[in-house]
Amino acid sequence: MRFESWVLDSILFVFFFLILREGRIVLGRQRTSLFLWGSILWTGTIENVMVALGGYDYFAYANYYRCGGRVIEGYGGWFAFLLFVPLCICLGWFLLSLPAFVISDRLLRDRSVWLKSAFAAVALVSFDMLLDPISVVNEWWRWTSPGLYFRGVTVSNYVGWFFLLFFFGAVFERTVVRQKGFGWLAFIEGVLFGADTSDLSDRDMGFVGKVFYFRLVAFLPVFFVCCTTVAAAVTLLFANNLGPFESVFPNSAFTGWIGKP
Amino acid sequence: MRPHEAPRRLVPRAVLRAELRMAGLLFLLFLIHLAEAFFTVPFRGHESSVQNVLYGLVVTAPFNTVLAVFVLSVRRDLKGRG
Repeated sequence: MRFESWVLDSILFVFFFLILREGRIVLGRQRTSLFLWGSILWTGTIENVMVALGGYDYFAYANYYRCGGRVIEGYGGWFAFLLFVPLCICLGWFLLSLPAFVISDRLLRDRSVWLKSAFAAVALVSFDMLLDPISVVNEWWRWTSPGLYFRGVTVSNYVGWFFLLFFFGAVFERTVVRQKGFGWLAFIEGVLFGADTSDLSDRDMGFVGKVFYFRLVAFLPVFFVCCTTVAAAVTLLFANNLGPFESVFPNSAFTGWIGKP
Repeated sequence: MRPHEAPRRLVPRAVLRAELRMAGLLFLLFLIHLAEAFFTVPFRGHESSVQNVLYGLVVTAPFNTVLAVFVLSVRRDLKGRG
């Protein structure tokens, strides 16, 4: 039996609203709001870059999906897109990462932000290891890049999931919860915001939010460097298999420098 | 006290209950995916849907363990507050 993508779409939208409601009680409205918009900015950017580079795609073309055995004219398979990525993918990441963050916050209360983020990220990867193989066999999305494949999913995907929450969680906790700064960003933030951002405790949440979004953008290159380094190392060391499908985008960004086997 | 810390300090029982509901929702989502794994075609490298379910239980063991510890911790706090 094959589940169409609108099934996952529906499930993720329903759970998104339910988790959002609980999140507002647990973290407070403002912090949950920052977590949500930060998630959309963070995952929306990263996912679109990866899709545009040909790492994977979401079958984003009309007249592909069926309902009751009939093709749905003009329907791309997902309720809404954020450029090349279904909106529910970003919301799905939010609804999984927010509880993972809450769990690590409770269990590791005053530990380092990096340790807490790593803990939450490992839990998230564990959950995704069930979701991704289901997605592949149901053709919700497909992997098109060279890599070490496990149950139809490249291990680089799990590396990516780990770093996604690892960096996002650390930036969120350091900025929004502990309201502190990152030393390497102090100078540029001083220039941009005209203020000392090493201690945000006296600032209103609007200002904290601006600093948070800026730090997410600043951490994007860090994410890509870490993710690419680890994923490429895994690919080169253990396997260099082409993806099982051709991407709708030219994926020379992957095959070009890793090399076709 | 910072404004964003208010929910945790002022209404701890409500927050704890929300944390429990959040954990419950996450577990429900896991069960839905496990059901999907059972009813859908075998994963790449699998020969049956039962293998899908066994695989799902093994790979999500860290997630479920963490979730169980979290629920126990929240329940203990709830009981501690009468």
